[in-house]
Amino acid sequence: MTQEENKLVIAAQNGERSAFEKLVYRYDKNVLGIAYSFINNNEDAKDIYQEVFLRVFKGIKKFEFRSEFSTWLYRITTNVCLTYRSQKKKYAYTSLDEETEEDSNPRSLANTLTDNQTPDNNAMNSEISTRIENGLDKLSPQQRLVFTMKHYKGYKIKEISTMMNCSEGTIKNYLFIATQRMRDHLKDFLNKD
Amino acid sequence: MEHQTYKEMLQLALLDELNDNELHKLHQHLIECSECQAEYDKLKKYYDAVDQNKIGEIDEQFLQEARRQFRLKLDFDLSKQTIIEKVFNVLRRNLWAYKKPVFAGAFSLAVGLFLGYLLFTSDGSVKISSLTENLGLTGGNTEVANVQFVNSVPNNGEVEFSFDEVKRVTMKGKLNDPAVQKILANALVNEKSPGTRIQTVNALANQTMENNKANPKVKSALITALKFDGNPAVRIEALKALLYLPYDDEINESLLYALEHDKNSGLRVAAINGLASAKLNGKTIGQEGMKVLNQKVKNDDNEYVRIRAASLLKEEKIQ
Repeated sequence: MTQEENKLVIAAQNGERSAFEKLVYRYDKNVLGIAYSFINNNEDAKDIYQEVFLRVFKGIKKFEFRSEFSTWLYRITTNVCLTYRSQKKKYAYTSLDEETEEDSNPRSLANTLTDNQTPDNNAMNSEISTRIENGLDKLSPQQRLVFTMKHYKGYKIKEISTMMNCSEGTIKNYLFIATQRMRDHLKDFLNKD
Repeated sequence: MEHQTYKEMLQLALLDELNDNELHKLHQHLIECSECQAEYDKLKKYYDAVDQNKIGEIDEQFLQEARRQFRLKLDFDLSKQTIIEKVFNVLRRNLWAYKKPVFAGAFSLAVGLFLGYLLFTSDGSVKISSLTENLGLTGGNTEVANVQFVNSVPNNGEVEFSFDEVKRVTMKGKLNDPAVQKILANALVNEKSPGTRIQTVNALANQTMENNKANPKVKSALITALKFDGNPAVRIEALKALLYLPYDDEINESLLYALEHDKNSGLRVAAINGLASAKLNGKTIGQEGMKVLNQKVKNDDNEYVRIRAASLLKEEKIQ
């Protein structure tokens, strides 16, 4: 941790709101990025973002500098991501209207293709996107998180293992299982030539 | 090594997780093993498909919206916390005052019962029997909106539903009245109409100009408006109002935020002028500020901002 960041953490621990906000703005783009690539929904990603930083705000006084601030923050982020889905399932009241809204989410995978793709490619990719999305839904939260952090956010296995507080072997295992399941799920497309 | 190990290495190679030595070993194996070569081709196809369909980066607007909502939530939680803290402080003080534990126990029980009463009566629900007594539904100035049925099928002749009771209230008061300020601060960050937000921010600006102080809720609302309001006129008025307040780290940080993120060049000019006048009054811009100024010197598309940033940087370095 840089000395400057250290100072900001101490100031935030002493209740300086502007120091806390500076810390937030240093990392919040990454936090929102992880949340969004994990959950693939704007509102849910914002909920995760909010929950993460509220926990940071409440917990910063107890932060004892045993790890980097960023490590602590990303551990909170991965924890919130991992528990978010199950908690949402437990408490959420889902109506047919909400499901329709979810389906037409403008940020869904199917809508993130680049402009230079041909219509055929688009149609094909759109199908693959939907398949990938469905495949991701079938993974465990841990497998899904590791998959998205590796493939979508480009983190190294070592970094993911620090963020999730598990061994590199465990992360590799999640990744191998995720790959196997996703390949099974996509095999019709992958076998096409 | 077994094929399974090489297959795992293939995945790691495609994920850029192998060192040169491991890559060399794998490469040698692939030359000799057609099975692993075929697996490599399949894996490559899979990774390409995932790669081409990855979720896009989040954009600036999405990030700003998340920040705005978080700031509002934090303000809300902090105000809630203050009430709870007040209750606990009273409780603690009183417990200290009683010397004998039996009194403390009795007091805790009484406070517990009181809090329980408060909790159970403030859950937002209204007993049906008391509805007609409490509502001025026939009075004419109360509107009922957002009716939602709790039980959609009427049972035993009863029906249960919730709704918003909306009543127009006219209020007249001094701008330095905390109750007035609380409502205006709330309107500044939550009101949908930009016209109302501009009127609100002007009223708050008048108050800060006259008194050179603001309660924390007003200050926080002004900062939220400066950073995240969608309307540039509201943002600029919020900035002006903040400059009447005693300059501190929070205001410094907000001006830097506006200078760094605001797309409106007029606002960036106002922000850098604010920073410059604070500097004239002996305030320092700080490390974080130096970074923003450096970035502005290089990248800002407004010439005035670039020149002003350069001169501020020079002054800061001389000091």
